[in-house]
Amino acid sequence: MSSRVEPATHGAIDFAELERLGIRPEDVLDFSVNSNPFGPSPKVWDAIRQTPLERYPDRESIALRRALSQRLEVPPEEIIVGNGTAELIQLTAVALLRGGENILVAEPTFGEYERSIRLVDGNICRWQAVPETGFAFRPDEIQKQLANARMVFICNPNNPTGQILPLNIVDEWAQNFPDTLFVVDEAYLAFVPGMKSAVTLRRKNILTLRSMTKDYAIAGLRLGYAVADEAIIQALINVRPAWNVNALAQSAGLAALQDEAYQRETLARLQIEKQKLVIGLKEIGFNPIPSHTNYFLLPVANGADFRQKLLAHGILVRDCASFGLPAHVRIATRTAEENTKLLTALASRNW
Amino acid sequence: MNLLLIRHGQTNWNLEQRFQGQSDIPLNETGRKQAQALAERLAAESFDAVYSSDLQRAAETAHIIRKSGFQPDACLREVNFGDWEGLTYDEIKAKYPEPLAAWENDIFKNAPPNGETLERLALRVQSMLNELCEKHEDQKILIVAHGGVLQTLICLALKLPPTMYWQFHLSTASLSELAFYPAGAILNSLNDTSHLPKSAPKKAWNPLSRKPSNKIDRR
Repeated sequence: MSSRVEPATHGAIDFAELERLGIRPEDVLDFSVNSNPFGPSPKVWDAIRQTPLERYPDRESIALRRALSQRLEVPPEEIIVGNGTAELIQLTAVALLRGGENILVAEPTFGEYERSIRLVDGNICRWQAVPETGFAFRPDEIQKQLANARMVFICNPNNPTGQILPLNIVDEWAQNFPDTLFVVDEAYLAFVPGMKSAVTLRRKNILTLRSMTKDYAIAGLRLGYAVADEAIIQALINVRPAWNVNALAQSAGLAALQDEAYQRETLARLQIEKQKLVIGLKEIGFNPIPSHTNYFLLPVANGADFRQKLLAHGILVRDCASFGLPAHVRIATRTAEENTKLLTALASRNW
Repeated sequence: MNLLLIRHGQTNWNLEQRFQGQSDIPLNETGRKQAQALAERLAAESFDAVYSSDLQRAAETAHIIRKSGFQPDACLREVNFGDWEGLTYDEIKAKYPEPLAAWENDIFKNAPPNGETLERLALRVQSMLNELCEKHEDQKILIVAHGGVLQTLICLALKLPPTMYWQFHLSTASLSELAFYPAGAILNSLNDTSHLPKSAPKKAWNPLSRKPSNKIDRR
């Protein structure tokens, strides 16, 4: 039996690959994931220890949705929690799309949008950001493709480019194209302080996706949520697997939301480290592409080759070939000591 | 967001070039006059919020500028120079040669004895800046603080590593202006002292003017 869908390519550690190379996962410095490198708040660990494992998790994630509802100032009925935003992307496609419908994707971007569209036999339309403009969003160009689209996927700030689309443009589009659903993936919003969420626009045709695994450093648990009009959320609930969010993730998410101080301090620290890393790379002859986020694109001769050579130093970066950028890698800022190790490795030879 | 940045008026320790840090030294007469000149310059301007360091040289400057009140914030305190506070550079060099050498070699990582690293300072300034950006998106904000704090804030706003803060000089009672946009911040003015009486420019202490090499420390 042949499948019309294939897995998308992602960053992070490939456990099978490391085993072939004889490297232990715990020895790898992972610059390929865009998460907060300072780890979860101690309060998250406390919450995890106190979570009963013998009990089923709350199918509705009620406690977490209430906490999010307070934080975001939207009713809990407009929030659904998922096993990472990847699950919610798939639920969105399955619940809201039909075969043959046009879906616009602003690329290069996260591979799961395309995969979920393929899953429902949607017709993928693309808008492509280009290196000549530093991969900036071009609203004037994107707008021309909106009239035909049933749904639009916009990752804001974008992965892997770290570019942002101003919120007033999203708002304008949502008003001018009322029959189009705008799926705005804000997985990396927390890494751009002062950037406002599309949730604040309160538009009926905007579905906002938020990850909790990046900013709160709990990628191992999988946790994300979507905010949209109640009818849209209900449609997602209708196709959601039962007990989709495990109890540890729910407790961890709740605890993470309550430790704002830790979040604020680690993200501020990360901003400072990013500037130091970018300058460090420039000093040894690299030319990182400016980004608003903790991660950025680095032009190299050959991304796959570059990644492979660095892996021999126990350092992992994201080869961007799967984004259609074979001459780029994506690097996410880590702690000061770890960034120094990357810079030392990069300064040690001619890449 | 528009940020007006004011360094506090002069104190006697400024005049004597003593490291002040978090020592709570009052303004001197010159400092009060400078603050008054700032008040007159800004009389017609309105601000959505005024924040000041809670140390009295800044708080008094803020009070003279805005009688209607301001929010004191410990996040805006000067970097803590620990045991060096009250001493001049030459006195520190005589008493603490080794810690001083270490500090000058890597000001980001090494603190004066019982003092604060520049890294700690950068962290609290970045936290404050993030909060301001969130709270005051389209607003005009006045900040009264200290040289080290404001020079760090300017670096962070411009996305420069905070280790470059020695490359910006702010005189006492000077005015600088940053405008924040989604795509980045713009430094509209720096160290504007046109409201103050002209005086011979005094060379402030700065390690860059002392180091033999002109290589900038960017760690």
